[in-house]
Amino acid sequence: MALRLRLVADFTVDTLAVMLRNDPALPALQVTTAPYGRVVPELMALAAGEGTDASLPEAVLVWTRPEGTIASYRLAQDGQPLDMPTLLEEVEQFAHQLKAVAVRGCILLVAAWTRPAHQRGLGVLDWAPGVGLRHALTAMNLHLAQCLAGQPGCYLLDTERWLNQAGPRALNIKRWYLGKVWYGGEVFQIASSDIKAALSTLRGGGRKLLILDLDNTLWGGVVGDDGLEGLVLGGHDPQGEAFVDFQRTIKALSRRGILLALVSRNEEAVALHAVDHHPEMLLRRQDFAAWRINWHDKAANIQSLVVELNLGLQSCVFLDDSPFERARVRETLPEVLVPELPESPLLRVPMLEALTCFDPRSLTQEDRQRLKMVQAERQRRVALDASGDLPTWLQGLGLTVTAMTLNTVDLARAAQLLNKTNQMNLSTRRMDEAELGAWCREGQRQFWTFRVGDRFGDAGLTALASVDISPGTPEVAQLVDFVVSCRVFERGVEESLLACVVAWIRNLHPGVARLEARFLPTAKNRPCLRFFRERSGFQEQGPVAADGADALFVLSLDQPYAVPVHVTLRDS
Amino acid sequence: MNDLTSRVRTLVYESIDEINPGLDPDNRLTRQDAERLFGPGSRLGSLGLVNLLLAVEDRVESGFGLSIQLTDSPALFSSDGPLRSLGAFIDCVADMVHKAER
Repeated sequence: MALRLRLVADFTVDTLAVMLRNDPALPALQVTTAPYGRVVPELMALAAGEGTDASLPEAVLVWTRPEGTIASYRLAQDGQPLDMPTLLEEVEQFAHQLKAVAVRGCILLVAAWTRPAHQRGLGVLDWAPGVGLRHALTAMNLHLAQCLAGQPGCYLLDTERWLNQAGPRALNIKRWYLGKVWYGGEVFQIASSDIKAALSTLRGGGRKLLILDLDNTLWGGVVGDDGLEGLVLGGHDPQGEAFVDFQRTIKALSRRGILLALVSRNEEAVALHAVDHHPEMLLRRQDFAAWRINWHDKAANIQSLVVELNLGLQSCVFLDDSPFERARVRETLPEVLVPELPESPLLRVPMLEALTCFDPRSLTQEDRQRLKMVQAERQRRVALDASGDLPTWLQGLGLTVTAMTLNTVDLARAAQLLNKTNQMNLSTRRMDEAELGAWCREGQRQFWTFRVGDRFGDAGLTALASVDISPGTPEVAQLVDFVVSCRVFERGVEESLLACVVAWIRNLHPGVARLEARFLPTAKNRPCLRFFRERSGFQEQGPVAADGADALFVLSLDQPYAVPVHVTLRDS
Repeated sequence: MNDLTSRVRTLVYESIDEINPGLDPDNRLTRQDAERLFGPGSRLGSLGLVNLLLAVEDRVESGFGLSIQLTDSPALFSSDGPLRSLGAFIDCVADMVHKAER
């Protein structure tokens, strides 16, 4: 199903529309363009929700020229004194119009304002506060970013980078006079790629795991032949410096929540000795969530890694200096992204920095601590193996589940979890932050987030539940979302969620007699069906849909729902 | 002149490659000399034509160090003008470059 994207601009963007439509990268787009130059009326129409649900866009790109949008900037361009307070007030008004669109629940991408290279403004005075146009333009963008910051679903795009990358042909003024096109094809091509990447990220398409080779990838040389001392890494050597910078760039990704893993043809002890002890290594053993260092086929090793880390192959990126290994993984595991690694180590940092697949849709505490969580999970598995049986292990786990009503701080993480969780997911609803926020505000609805922790560490916000009590059927509460991350399920967390939901209904809505959960099947959520059939205490009432694919589960609310004995449920 | 025409042909083909990604697949230009660039039977809209002419102007400037003005040439747009076919257009650009070189 193609995502409906509306382009709104004060110049002709037909070329961009064609490029976006024909770009094979996901998500597929159904692109429409607003008539050129009708930015404000179009924003007002979008804010009013004019059109049918099927025709309303799910995403909107707004791309304007500063002089076409902010009258004070235009006046300053014409030589009038710069009136900064009025200029910033106009920016706020524009931001208000944008937010009115975003609040309807669509993704709003706004291209930051820029100006072409030939506009020199006031030359040496152009950065003078209150005088120069460059200073004013920068202040406008910063103010716009601030105004949009609190609005879920709103994102400012880095237009300046598009122009820099396109170079001197970014703008040809003839194109403006002849066709009201402000930018050249190169700019639109780069913009198209960035917009696609942004939409993919926001729809949950980002990658989470970077799998790395060692020899001639993280360091120069072959550790098995050259020994730790013979490796090219750091020091006063161009290649050595480049390998360290490459590791620094990878470490930065790790700090943003990208998991790292090693797949290398080596003797494990020899390779890990170098990882642990080479004085110039920035990435150490504790930076890696898992590794397969052996002489087996790398594609098989990658498959085994993703199983261990409970990820899908579509989450993986594989970097290896060997064209043979890259080709092998590409052919065997087409879902894994295998970028071309430049032969020269000196060129690898820009290649890595230019990848769009690691763009974060948000940077939550959970993202930053993902590696710690994976390491804690490894400790849990060790403890489970040592305890011998599951009930004993659960008793000793010290599991706490903390419920909270969804708040703005957790909105980003909640949307992320809603969009990423496949297995323990009742309805597999996909909504971005704005849509989720809008849904929660309507009707008689309650949406919880759950944080799960145990003696090994804090797994963070890893479960969601929501109920909706329709005015037409006040005796029934619908369990709309029931989402538990695979990191914590089958430990009593599912029952704890239901206990929280049931207690809330019984306390605040005593007229509600039963809780209904409609299971909507996907290719991946059978664990959820199994839970409702075997452990939830709900009664299965059969399908609701004509095709019989779904299943309705019902729970009578005349009794409280028991929290598992090994769980401490906190309601904050 | 033949060598010049050959260089211009390469440059026009590069310009076609540059603008084609901005055209729907059905409207993309081929490299055939009979390809119509303007008027009835042309797959190029006005915007596509502008983009092609500007791309050729840019490439002549970077390739030959010469400035030619295609978009400002009304004669180009007459019904029997050089935009009637890609081959005629290449000859026309080569002629303009030749004159500008002198």
